[in-house]
Order: sequence, then structure tokens, then C-alpha cells
Amino acid sequence: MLNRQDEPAIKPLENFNPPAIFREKLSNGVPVFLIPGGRSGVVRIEWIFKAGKWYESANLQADLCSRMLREGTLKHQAAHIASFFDGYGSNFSTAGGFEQASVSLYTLSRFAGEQLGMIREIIEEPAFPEKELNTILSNRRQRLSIDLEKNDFLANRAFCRHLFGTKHPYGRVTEADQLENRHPEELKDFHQKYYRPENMMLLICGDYSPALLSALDQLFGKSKFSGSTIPKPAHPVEGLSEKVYHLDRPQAVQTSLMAGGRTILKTHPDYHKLFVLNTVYGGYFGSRLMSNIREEKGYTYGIYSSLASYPHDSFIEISADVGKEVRSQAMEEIGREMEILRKEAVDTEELEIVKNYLEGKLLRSTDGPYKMGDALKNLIATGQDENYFREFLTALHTITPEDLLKTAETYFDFAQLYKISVG
Amino acid sequence: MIQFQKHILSNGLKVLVHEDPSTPLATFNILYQVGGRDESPDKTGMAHLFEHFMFEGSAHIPEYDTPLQKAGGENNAFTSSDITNYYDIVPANNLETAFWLESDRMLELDFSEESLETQKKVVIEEFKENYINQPYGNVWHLISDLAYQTHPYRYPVIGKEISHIEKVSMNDARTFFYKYYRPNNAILCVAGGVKTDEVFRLAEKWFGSIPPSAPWTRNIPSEGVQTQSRIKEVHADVPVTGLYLAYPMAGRMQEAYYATDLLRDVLSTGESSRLYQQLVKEQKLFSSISAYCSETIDPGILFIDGKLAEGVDPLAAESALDRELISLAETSVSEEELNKVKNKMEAYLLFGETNVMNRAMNLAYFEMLGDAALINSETDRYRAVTSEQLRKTAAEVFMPSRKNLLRYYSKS
Repeated sequence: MLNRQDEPAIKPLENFNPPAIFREKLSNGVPVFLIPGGRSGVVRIEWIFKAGKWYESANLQADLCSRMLREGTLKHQAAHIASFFDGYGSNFSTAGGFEQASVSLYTLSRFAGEQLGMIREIIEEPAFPEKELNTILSNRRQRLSIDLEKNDFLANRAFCRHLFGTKHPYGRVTEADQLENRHPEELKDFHQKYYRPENMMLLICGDYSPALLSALDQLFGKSKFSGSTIPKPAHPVEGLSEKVYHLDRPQAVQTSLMAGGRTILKTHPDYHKLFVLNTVYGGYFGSRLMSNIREEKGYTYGIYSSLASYPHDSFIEISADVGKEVRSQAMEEIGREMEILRKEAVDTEELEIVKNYLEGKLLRSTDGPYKMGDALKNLIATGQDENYFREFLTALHTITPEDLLKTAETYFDFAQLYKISVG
Repeated sequence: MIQFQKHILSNGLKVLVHEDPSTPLATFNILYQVGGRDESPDKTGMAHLFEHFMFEGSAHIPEYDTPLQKAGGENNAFTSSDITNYYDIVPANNLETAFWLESDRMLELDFSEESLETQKKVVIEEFKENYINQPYGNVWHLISDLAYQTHPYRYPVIGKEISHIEKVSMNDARTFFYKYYRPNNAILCVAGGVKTDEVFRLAEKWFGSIPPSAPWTRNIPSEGVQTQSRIKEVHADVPVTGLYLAYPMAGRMQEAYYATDLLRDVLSTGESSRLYQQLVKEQKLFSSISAYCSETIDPGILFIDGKLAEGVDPLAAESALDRELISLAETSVSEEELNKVKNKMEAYLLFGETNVMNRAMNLAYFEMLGDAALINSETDRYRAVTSEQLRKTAAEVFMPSRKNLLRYYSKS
């Protein structure tokens, strides 16, 4: 007779064998990262540049430069480029973040080689046509006006501004007037400085052939590095002194809450401990915040705390949309849960759940070539590599409740956090 | 080609297994054939609220999430108009924990009054977060109400209104559970680093003794053929005027579904698509525009969502959009354009298949449609559509008398 009270025994992680990463170089020295994924018939190729927001000299330069790459080359117009990639069934995109900007091709493997010439043209000879730039700016203004009606969008802007100040790349946000009177020249200038072979790496995931690799070398491995240095700007953080910000929106039925502050970098020796502590606090569905504020009180659909780690800075960020009438209670609970972690050691049962959960999460976030590729890209941005995963596992196994208590005492200080509410 | 094995337990539970030795994980996906379309018009939102309730403890296990997280697992669920789907992704050596948890909550729930009340509050916050506290948040409510007159797809899955969620009783929950959450109304698919025989053994061990429900037949009022266009106008506190169109289209099992889905791609997939090139880039009438198919079992809608560009007359935008749709009914798309959308579809399906969880979810879904093996003929079915079929389908779908239009004017 089946005894349903008998919980199946939990088995530990036997071995951690994430997808293998192979490293090569193009003839000119451009690093190539390869993560093979069987004969799936599809492949993702990314050209990644250190050309994110950190490097721009005026707000939105990096973003607009990346967006405008698709809008025409010296030889081909935007409509032609779009039809070219779509014709092969490919998904071609360009996107920029704080640190990196990437050009990505998701394609059927059998057509991959035929599209590389066009990508070389896009990366090396973009035209930045003014007409297309103006259309994009106008449509962005429309989108911004809509976003500015959303509580969570407004809260996030206020959060970034408070943590880093309005001049810092992590702190400044898009204002409508910055979407007017932009000129192709500033984008050309940015492109020239940062979209260079010595500032590039290639990441290839999925089903690729040796022929594809030699085609990539033919097209991207011949251009010489110029030897001139790539500008690396520094940006001082100028966080606001006011810790509490509330924007009242009478028509809103909910309030977007955010709390957070700057914290240690991902490369800091205490980072793994802080990561585990944050998981206990608000990093998974069973967390203290979710159990209390959603499951017990029903104040919100969801509440999370996360560590945002970028190359030049890190911060902890707690966010939730809560019923307007419970705004202050919810913020108090966010603080109270943080205080508890500073005062009382996490019991071993809860810590074991979190450790096992994080092991499983590690398997999920490195499962298959594409997820592994995404994880690797982030590690490279912070100057790390896939050894990070094993270091994390080793640290995870040794962390004790006392470690977490000490970590909370050092890094969890609710009084020092910014508290933002909109709605 | 996705390989799988199938076995049906004596209580009617269908079990599918797909082995993929390349992953250390196992996906446990269970699909219950119940969704928004099974609700009565005065208790809409029930299926989705019930999905929340399923995590609130079962006969022998006080809480669902903790043991799963302890096994290194993660789970989620979603409710659509047709189905409620739950999945757990666990390290493959802890697969049995998922069997233990999922079978216990199919056997019997805890039915705690307190949990039901909390989950009602959570769902009401979800309702507010996504459908009230967002600019254009009520569009789906308005357009479904316009496009359907009798079919329950008329009510969004979250519910028609908050009061419906508030008034759900424990008795409603019990009735719902014992009708729909039975093995003969469910499809289980386990995929990943697992062994087929072991999965069948675990399925028999944990689910084999759960009694099925007495047979019942689904009786959903069908939507009549639309003969007159319908227009609704609202003036709202939004910064940009939006235009929303819905045309009735084929259900997921009908042949015309494939041609209609490709029409949607012609209109709106990729930056070379017609709506983007013509209406956003060339004529600059819209700042963004996209088309979607509702992918429902019963006949659904092809939905178009457009936001105007700066300073554009809504009527000019509307008639340009009409012209794009009518031209699909008048002139066949070129072989080149047809080939493009077929390549797009093939790449989309193949990229989707690179993810084991998607494979598990789709196998269960196609089994519900009639046969899990259908998953392997999807590309061919799209490939078989001809240019003439596309034109004929467009003439059928974009008939002016079948148009449902929502003009969502900005007050500013």
C-alpha cells in the first residue's frame, strides 16, 4: 500500500557537467566562444562589442547606435536588410545593455553562411540615415509617453536616479527631449570608437559547421586591429541624499514599491554568501518576502529581491506592486524581514532548501547551449568565466547559518536603502 | 523528429515520455483539460483562481512549493481559455518528488478556507496589476466582448470583473476540482534525462490508484457566424490613440488555422512584414503595430494591436490598415514572400524545440488535440499551404462584415 506521507528521498547533485565551451581565435585575434548543441538545425551567432551605455558621451548614444545598425548600410537600405534576413527565416537583431552591445543572428543552420556578408556590411559600413533615425525617435517618443503612465516604469526610473544620480550611466533615464534633435554624426562617432575588431568577441551556440567557422574567419578575421586605444570612461556615482521618494498618482489602484541600494561587486569574496542570503530573503518563490507578503497577507501578486551585478557596480533591488491601501504596511514588512535576518540565524532546514534550490537553479540556468551562452556572456562582462559556477557550488556547500547572519549584519541595512513608491 | 512513448493508465491518465539524455534535468508537465471556456458567465476567472488554489496544500502535503524547492526544483503554471498547465523542472534524479507532489494534489486538495481567501486577494492584485493599473489594460476585456457574442471566450481568463473572483465559494472549488482535476481529464508528459520504463513505473505507482470522474460531456455554446461589423469607441486617459481589430478565425484543429497563422506572419512577423514596412516605416501612420492569433481549440480571433504615430488622424490610419488587409484578399502573395514566412515558421518551431520544457508542454498539448505525434508534422503542414490558399483564407477572414473594431481614443 502506497504511503503518501512518505516523501521520496532527496538525492544530492551527482555531478555538474554543463555544456562544454570551446575557445578559438580568428586570424586577427578576435576571441570566439563556441558552445555546440547537437544537430538541431538552428544556430545563434552573436557579435558582441564593449559598446554599451557605459561608453557613451551623451544619453542614448549607445542604444541608438545599436538600433540604427539595422537601418541601412552604404550599399543597402533598411527595407532591403529586413527582407534579406527575414527571407531566410532568420531573426536578426541588435541590442545594447549597460556594458555590451550585440548583433545577433538566430537562423536555420543551412542558411547561416549566406548571411554573414550582410552582417559584415552592417557592422563595418552602417549609414545611419537621418530619415530612419527620425522615424525611430518619433516612435520612441510615443512609446515613452505610454511608459510614463506605468507605475512600475516610473518607480524604476526614480530608483536608478536615486542610487546613481542623473549623470551616471546606470542612473540616467530617457527624457522626451533627448529623443529629439539627435544627429547621425554622434552615432557615427560612437560607432567608429567602439565597433572595432579589437573590441569584439564572437559567441556561437547550437548547430554550426566547420565551414561556417572558416567563413566567419574570412569575413571578420582579416581586418587588422588599429592599435589605437579604446576610450574607457570613468563615471562617479552621485546618489541622492534623500532616501525616501513617493509619487502620488490619484488614479492608480496599486502602488509600485522599490527598495534597494548599492552593494558589493560580483567579484567580491563575500558575494556568494550575499547571493544565498538574498535568495532566502526574496530570491525565490519560497522566500521570506514572498511567504509573508504574498502567501500570508495577500498584499501582492509577487515580490522579489534580486542582486543586479554589473561590471562597474552592483545593487540590491526589491520590488512589488501592492494594493494602494497597504503601501506602508508592505514597505514595513520588507524592512522587518531584513531586520529578522540580521538578528536571527536561518535554521538549517530552510538553508538546506535554499541550497538545493540553488543547485537546481544552476542546472537550469546552464542547460543547453543557449542558456549556457547567455550565462557566459554575463560572466565575461564582469571579467569572469565559467569557473565561476564551480566556485559557487563549492562556496554553497560550505555556507552556514552563522555565515549568513554575519553577512546580513554587514550588508543588510534597511535604514540605508532607498525607498521608492509610485501610485 | 521528437521521439516519445505513450501509455494510458486504467483510470484514463495519458502518460507520455520523451527521453533526452543530453540534459541533467527532467520536466514534469501535466495538462488539465479545463480553462476559461468551461466557466459559467457569472463565475468567470474560476479556472485561473483554481490554478492558484492548487498550490495551497493537498491531502498529505501541507505546502506544495517547499518540498519541490528542496528537491532543487522550480515550478509554474498557466491558465488559458482552453487548458490549465502545470510544470516542474527538477534535477532528473529527483523526479519522484514531482510525482509525489503532483499525484497528491490530483488525489485531493486541502480545501482550506483561509488559503482560498488569500489566493482570491492575490488574484485580485494580479487583476489590478495587469488589467486596471496599466494604460490600455482593459483592451482585452473590450475586444473579446466585441468579437464574441455567445462563446465563453468572451470573458478573459483573469475574469470578467473582480466581483466574480470575490464570490467564488469553497463549494464551487470542490465541484470544479472533482469534475476537471481527474486523471481521465489530464495528460502527463515527462521529458529530459529520464528512462521511459521508470517513468511509466512511477506513473502507475503514484497516479494509478486515483479514481477517475464519471463520464461527462463538454457543452460549450458555439459562436455564430458574424454577419455585421461591430465598432466600439472609448475615450481614456492614455497618451496615444490605439486601434484594435479582431476578425474571427479557425480553431487550432481546423485546416484554415495554418493559412491564417501564415497570414499573420505576412502581416506582422519580422521587420520586413507588411504592417511594419507599410504603416510604420513608409506611411508613418503607426508607431507600433502587431498581429496575433488566439490559438484556441474553438474558433478564435486574429487580433491586431496598433498605436498611432505622432499627429496622425485615426481615420487615415484605420483606412490604410484596412487596405493592407484587403490587398491580401485581392492579390496573391509572391512565392518569395510565402517562402519567407514558411522559413520563419520553420526556424521558430526549431528554436522552440531546443528547449526540453517546450517539448514536454507541446507533446501534452498535441496529445490533447488528438495525437502527440502531430508535433512532428507541424512544419510540413505550414509548408503545404499555397499562395492561393492564403488569398482565399484572407478573403474569408478579412471580410468587412466580420470586422470588430475598437477605437481607443486618447483624451489628450
